Amino acid sequence: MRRPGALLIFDETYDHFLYGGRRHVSAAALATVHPGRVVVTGSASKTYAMTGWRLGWALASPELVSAMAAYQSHSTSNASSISQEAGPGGADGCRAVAGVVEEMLAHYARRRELMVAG
Amino acid sequence: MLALAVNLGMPQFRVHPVGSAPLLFGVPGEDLRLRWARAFTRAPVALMNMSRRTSTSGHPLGLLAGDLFWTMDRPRPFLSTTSSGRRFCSRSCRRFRLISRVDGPASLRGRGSLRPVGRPVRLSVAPRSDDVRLRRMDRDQVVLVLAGRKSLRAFGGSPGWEKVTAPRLSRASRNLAPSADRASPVPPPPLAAAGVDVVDFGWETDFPTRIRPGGGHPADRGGVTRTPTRRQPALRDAIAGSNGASRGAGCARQNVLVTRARSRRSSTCATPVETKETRWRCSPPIGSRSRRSCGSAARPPHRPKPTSAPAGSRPPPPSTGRDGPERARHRQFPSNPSGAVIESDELARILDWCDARERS
Repeated sequence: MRRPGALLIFDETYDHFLYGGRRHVSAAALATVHPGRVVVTGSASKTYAMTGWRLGWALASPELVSAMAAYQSHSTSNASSISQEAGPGGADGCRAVAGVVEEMLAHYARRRELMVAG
Repeated sequence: MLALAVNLGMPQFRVHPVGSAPLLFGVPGEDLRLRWARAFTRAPVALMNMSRRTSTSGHPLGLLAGDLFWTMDRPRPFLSTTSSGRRFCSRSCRRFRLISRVDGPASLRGRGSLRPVGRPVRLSVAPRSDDVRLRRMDRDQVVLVLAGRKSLRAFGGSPGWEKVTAPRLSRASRNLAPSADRASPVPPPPLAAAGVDVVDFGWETDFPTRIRPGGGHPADRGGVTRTPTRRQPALRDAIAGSNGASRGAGCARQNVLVTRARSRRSSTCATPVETKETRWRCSPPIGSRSRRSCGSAARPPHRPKPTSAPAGSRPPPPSTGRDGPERARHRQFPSNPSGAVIESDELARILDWCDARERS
């Protein structure tokens, strides 16, 4: 594994929640140019309002993911099977979370317009 | 019809009726107080935040409603120290002066020259306690104690109060009718189902309704173990697919690590992580935010900062030296909740800087 001098970890948990037509720029798009240096993290707690279900993920190079998985299995244990099934990857979770983000964002945007638009 | 439902979800959030004016305790944050109070502008509502521990705005008392303003001239009782040694009252509190009920913005004549109109409000502060009560107040009209002059101006106050910093208020909220949620005992969901235009600020995605079945089925099957992430290819494929599509990056299963996202400090992290000479600031809005350290080793000696870069050019990477393991160094840039958004060019510059640093 190549060992870069700097590793950039981007917490993009709120990447879906942008308003006013702004578009999120993800560091994952540059991962191909800078392999082994970019790690992008996400969470179902924010994106899918699954707070308490303890489900998150990281996107990184395969070597780095393998190393993190080896470390994680001995440190923080793994996500429960229930959370994994209910999350965006589970058979039921796919149906459950479909449209959740868009619905939340629409409500949040309306609240935002009401409170801050002047 | 516009219904405004308020549910901040705070455990200390309570509503205490005083006459016809409920007091909302524990509403955190000055901006929230102002906005919410503004939403209730013509309603008999007073907002208070008297907690010494949560008084983040530095104002010991904040009540507002309509055109009535109250404040105090004796901040001394509030200049106490909490058990943790934190001063409760900030300097801004000393700007306040006692006024009585003001019947309109025209009565505000500037700091220190306010003339009382009507009966005063007497505050009782219990020693060593956060309990503050209004002993006397009008039952029909709501008391307002607002900290900032700018806020007062936003509420139609005198220009003489405009120097105190306060959050910007929504002018749109001025047009809101008195709290419809208090007028209607019906919760927001039935109102919405009945066709009422409800802006429910207490609304969240009802994840139990949507997500619970997804988790319930494996539970019924007895799958209640902590499955190693590598044995969940479907989840990793889904995450890779959704993230790859939304982020414009090609991701595969082997690029995804699933975790229960438990926050934990590593005991294997070695030595100091950040020093002054290694702190690097990029162009706004990116900036070094905080310093973190792990481990118990002492910090390396201080070194002078590198010379600043010429105007208009990107600051050069600092000379990090060899006084600590490279892998232990840590930077933290503002994340999205802070309001900072990294643009694509800034992102590329960060990565280029890392490449240049590695080559050097």
